[in-house]
Formats: sequence, structure tokens, C-alpha cells
Amino acid sequence: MMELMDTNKQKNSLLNIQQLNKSYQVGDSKQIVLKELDFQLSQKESVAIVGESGSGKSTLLNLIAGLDAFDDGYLFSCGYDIGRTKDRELAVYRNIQLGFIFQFHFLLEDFNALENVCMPAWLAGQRNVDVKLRAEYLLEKVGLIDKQRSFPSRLSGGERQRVAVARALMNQPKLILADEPTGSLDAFHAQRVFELMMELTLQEGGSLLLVTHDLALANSCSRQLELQKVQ
Amino acid sequence: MKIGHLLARRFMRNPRQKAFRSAVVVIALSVAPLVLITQISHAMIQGIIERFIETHSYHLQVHSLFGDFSDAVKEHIQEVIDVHDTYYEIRSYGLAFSSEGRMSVQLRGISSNLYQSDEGFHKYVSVKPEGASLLEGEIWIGKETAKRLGLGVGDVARILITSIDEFGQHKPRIMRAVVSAIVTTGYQNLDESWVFLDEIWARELLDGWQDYSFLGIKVKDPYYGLENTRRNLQDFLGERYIVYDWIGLNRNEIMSMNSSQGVILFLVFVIVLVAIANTVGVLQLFYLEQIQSIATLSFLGMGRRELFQLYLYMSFWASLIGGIIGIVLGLILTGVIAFGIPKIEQWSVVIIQWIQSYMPFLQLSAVDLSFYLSGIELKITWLSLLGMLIGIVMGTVLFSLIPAWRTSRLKPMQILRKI
Ligand SMILES: Nc1ncnc2c1ncn2[C@@H]1O[C@H](COP(=O)(O)OP(=O)(O)OP(=O)(O)O)[C@@H](O)[C@H]1O
Ligand SMILES: [Mg+2]
Repeated sequence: MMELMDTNKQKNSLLNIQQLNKSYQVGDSKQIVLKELDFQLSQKESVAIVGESGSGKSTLLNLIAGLDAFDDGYLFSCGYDIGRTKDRELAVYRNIQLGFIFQFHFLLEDFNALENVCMPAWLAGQRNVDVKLRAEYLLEKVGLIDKQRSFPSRLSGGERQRVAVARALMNQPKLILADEPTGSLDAFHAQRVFELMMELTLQEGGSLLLVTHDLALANSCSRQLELQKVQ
Repeated sequence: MKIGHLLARRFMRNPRQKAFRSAVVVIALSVAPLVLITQISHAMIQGIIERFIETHSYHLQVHSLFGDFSDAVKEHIQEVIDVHDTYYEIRSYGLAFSSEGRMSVQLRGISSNLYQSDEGFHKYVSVKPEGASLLEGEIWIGKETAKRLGLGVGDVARILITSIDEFGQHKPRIMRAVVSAIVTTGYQNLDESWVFLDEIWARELLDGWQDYSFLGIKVKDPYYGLENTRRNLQDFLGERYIVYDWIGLNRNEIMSMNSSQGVILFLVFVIVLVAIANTVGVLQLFYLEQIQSIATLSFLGMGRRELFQLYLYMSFWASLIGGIIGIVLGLILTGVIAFGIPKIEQWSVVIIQWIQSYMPFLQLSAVDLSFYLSGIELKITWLSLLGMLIGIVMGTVLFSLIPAWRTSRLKPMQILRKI
């Protein structure tokens, strides 16, 4: 069973999930991960997803990102009917509407910090000066403007994660999906990255969906969604 | 610049990227021998053609239907076309024999201005001993004839020829002449049955029915505009004469050389095809090596088209860089071999002499590459190299279309799962 602690259902929400089911086929048996999930998220909201390991938090983010297919139910995000959108449009959706931050930074090792931040805009086909200016602005915000030419291998864990935050915000996405973004950092740097992420997301007019095991961080969000393991 | 291009350029420079470098190496290593084969065979064929036209067929030949050549004609020819020089030649056949064997030979009565001062003739016909005379009663014979008949300089050669007596009857007759030199062009097929004698003596000696004489012409540039020159001359001389150019005269040889070059080119084509297939196979590994970056890009919103392009750009650069390295490598190899062949022969002579001086009972003969071809002259065919490069790049990109397409169809989740 999976429970929803959320009661403020809203219309015109940025994210609208209804009766969502997701299972994985493991050999001959079927493992149900998400069962009849209902969830809404409105603009400029920040929600923390909590739950024990294996409860399907990452799975939910993957579904929202259109990276994986669900069994049935409805999933509307940023105006896209995710279950019925073609791969090519999903790529555009991820590029324009979403920003990702993972526990592991996933920076491109062949590109420096500035280029990594620029990448979402480049993938969107923008190659003008504005892109660089915005990337510099974001790096300034996360306090890494003097490391803009550094390659990921030369950055510390906290610095890499801050670059990842800047990159996630590059295309001014409506929704930021963060999967334990501070999981690999010490308490001090975790707090710093989290604050930056919150501040910038809200400042840019986006919403935040944050998976975390850190209760203090979860409580800093406007709401919490707790997932439980399906028995 | 396309994003696929930018990504490809960074990925291929990644020091941990092995697939790209391997693909470059595969291409380079197959292009290098290709360059070597095409350049050497081109140089060999060019060398053979030059030997034919400088020592045997001349650039143009004028034959008279009535056997008359006045000096006026010769002078007129020089007014009409840009001639280097003209040479009378009379040819016939005979049977040379000695106690060691016999063989049919081609008797060539050549003008003294040919063997004394023609540049092309001197370049390609080596006369041993140097500066040997070709007086009446003397002949120069081909190296192979000399070998088979066991003749050396100073020996008397006997050749059976036919001539017509005063009653108009064919009658065989044995001519005797002193071998004053042994000649070779370095290309055995061309010179093996030559017997040179002076044209004026030949005219007295050979008046048999097998003889024919003609006027050989050397022009300034035998490779450019020769057909026009031939036609001008033909128009000028009229119907009493027939003018041939070297292409027509050596048609059989040229055709057989072209067909052997065709075989070589076919082999080359197969090698390239295998190399391209290997390269495409190796390049598929690049995708696995960069899987994390590709997964990252795919959640950043890289679409199928960009992934497809990225793949093709990798192929493009691998084949271009590999192709250029291969061509450079191939040219170096070509140079080493072309200048090395004559050296190999020289060294082998020195080494064999040294060995024999210690062990005189050993019968060794030097590596005789020269009879096939000595002193290749390299003329790099840049245009064909460029064509080769373009072909390899296009072929590799073309062969990559399918794997690129298959890769681009992978869903992001499938990629993420591979990490
Ligand atoms: N590709 C997959 N194939 C099969 N099973 C999977 C797959 N991905 C996840 N699962 C299973 O689904 C369940 C939920 O996984 P998920 O990664 O969403 O958990 P999580 O809540 O993010 O856990 P954690 O806090 O440890 O990250 C787990 O039992 C996992 O084994
Ligand atoms: Mg997880």
C-alpha cells in the first residue's frame, strides 16, 4: 500500500498525477512499485518526497521525466500528457521544462563548468552570447564564477553539485527534479547546496520536487509526500 | 556549429576514449598500404610506358605507303609540329643462334642521332660497355638474348635473316656481326629480343619482305595534346603516309597494364571495405565508453537527431584523421620502397661479393629486381589520394548510418540502465 499525505488537491497544477501504477518485470514475477498514486504540484511549490529505500522515489521522478513508461494512470506535467508523448517531444520537454539534479553530479567530464551549465541551452539549439551570460550569472549565484574554466575532475564534490544546480536552472525550467542532491555531501555543504537550490528555483519561478532522507531538509519544503513500500 | 559536432570533438579528445583512437588506427593502417600499392603501381606503369615510348615506339611514327621518305618531308614535319627530333628506323626479324641455343630476335636499324644524342633513349637504355660503337658489322644485343645465347661483348653473333636476291627470290642468309655492347631498359618484356644495328648498314643488309621502315618522332610533351598533333601531321602529309601515336602503337601493352591495375584497384577496394567495416565496429564501442555522458545528455534533453549526428560526426572525424595519417604514412613507405629497391640491389651485390670472396665455391646471384623495374620515378598522384580520402570518409559515414540510427533509437532508460 502506498499512502498520500497530501490533501490540498489543486486544479491548474503544474504536475497532476492520478491513479498511477508502476511495476517492474523481474524474471517471471511482477514487482509493483507505485500503486494508484495521486499527486498534484502547483507552481512555485516545493515538495519533499520521503520514504524508505526501495519505496519508489527515484522511480517516480523517472516517470515524471518521461524516462520510463508506467503501466496505467495519468501523468500530466508542464502541459504534457507524458504517457502519450512521443520520444522526440519528451526530449524537448526534458530540455525546456525540466531541470535535473542527482546524488551523483553527472557533469560532462569533457566540458568545463561554464560549458556544462551552457549545455541545456546548446541542446535547445541556442548558441548566442546570451547563453554564456546567463551561465555566468548562474555560476556567480552558486559562487563558482572564478571556477568557470575548471573541468569537473578539478572540482570538489560540493562544487560539482553546485554546478549541477546551475545547469538544472539554465533553461529556466518550470520543474526541478532533485534526487538526493545533497546525499553525497557533508552537513555544511548539503545545507549550502540545498539553500541555493531552493532560493534559485523559487526566484526563477520554478517548482521543486526533492527526494531526500534528510528530515531537516524535508521540513524546509512547503509539503512532504511520503511513499511507502508496496507489500 | 552543430551540438553533435561539438560533442564529437570533445569526446574524441578524451584521453580515456579508446574506441575513437582505435578507429583512427584501423583506418590509417589500411590506408597506408593502399597508398603504397597505388603509388608504386602507378609509378611502375608510368615507368614502363616511358620506356616503351622513349626506346621503342617513339611518340609518333610516320609510315609511308610507298616506302619513300625524302629529307624534304622530314623538314616539313618540323615546320608543322613542335618536334624534338626525328629518326629513321628499319625493323625486321631474324633467328639468332649459337651453340647454346637459338631465339627469334627483332632487328632494329636505328639512326645514329637516336643512340648518340637522344635524351629519352639514353635515359632508359643502358649500354654496356658505355659509349660502345655501333659501326657496320657491329650489333648491340638485349641482355636476355645475350644470356640465352651465351654471347658476350666481342663475340660474333650469327643471325638468320631473309633477303630478296636480284631475281626477286626470298632467300635465307646468315649475317654475322660482332657484339659491341649489351643493352637493357630495365624492363625485360620490352628489350629481351632486341638486336640493334646502325640504320645505314641495316638498309644495305635487310631488304627482305619482312622489313619495314618508318620515321620515328619525339615531341616535346608526349602526354599532352598528342592526338591533335597526330591529326595535324596526318592532314599535312596526306594519304601517302600514315601517322600513328604511341597510344595506338602500344595499345595492347597499355590495355594489359590497365587491366592489371584494375585488379589491384579491386583488391584495394576490398581492403578499404574491410577497413571501413572494422572502423564502424570499433566506433560502436565509443558509444559504450561514453555511455555516462550520453545518458546525462539524454536527461538534459538531447534528442535522437543529435545522438544520430554525434555518431556520424565521430565516424567522419575518425575516417578523416585516420585517412590523412594513413596517406602520410603510405607516402613515407612509398618513398622508402621506391628509393630502396635500387639500393637493395646494390647492397645485395656488395654482400654477395663479400660472401663469395670468403667462400668462392658458393654460386650466388644478386637479387635482380632491375630486370623488372629499376629506379622507379615517383610521381605522386595527389588527385587520386584526395579521391581515396573522400571515398573513405564517405564510405565510413555511410556504413555508420545504420548503427547510428540504432543507437539513436535507444530510450533514455535503456541507456541509464547500462551504467
Ligand atoms: N529498472 C528496474 N528494474 C527492476 N526493478 C527496479 C528497476 N528500478 C528500480 N527497481 C526496483 O523498484 C523499487 C523502487 O526503486 P527506486 O529506485 O525507485 O527506490 P528509491 O525509493 O529511490 O530507493 P533509494 O532511497 O534507495 O534510492 C526497488 O525495489 C528496485 O529494486
Ligand atoms: Mg533512489
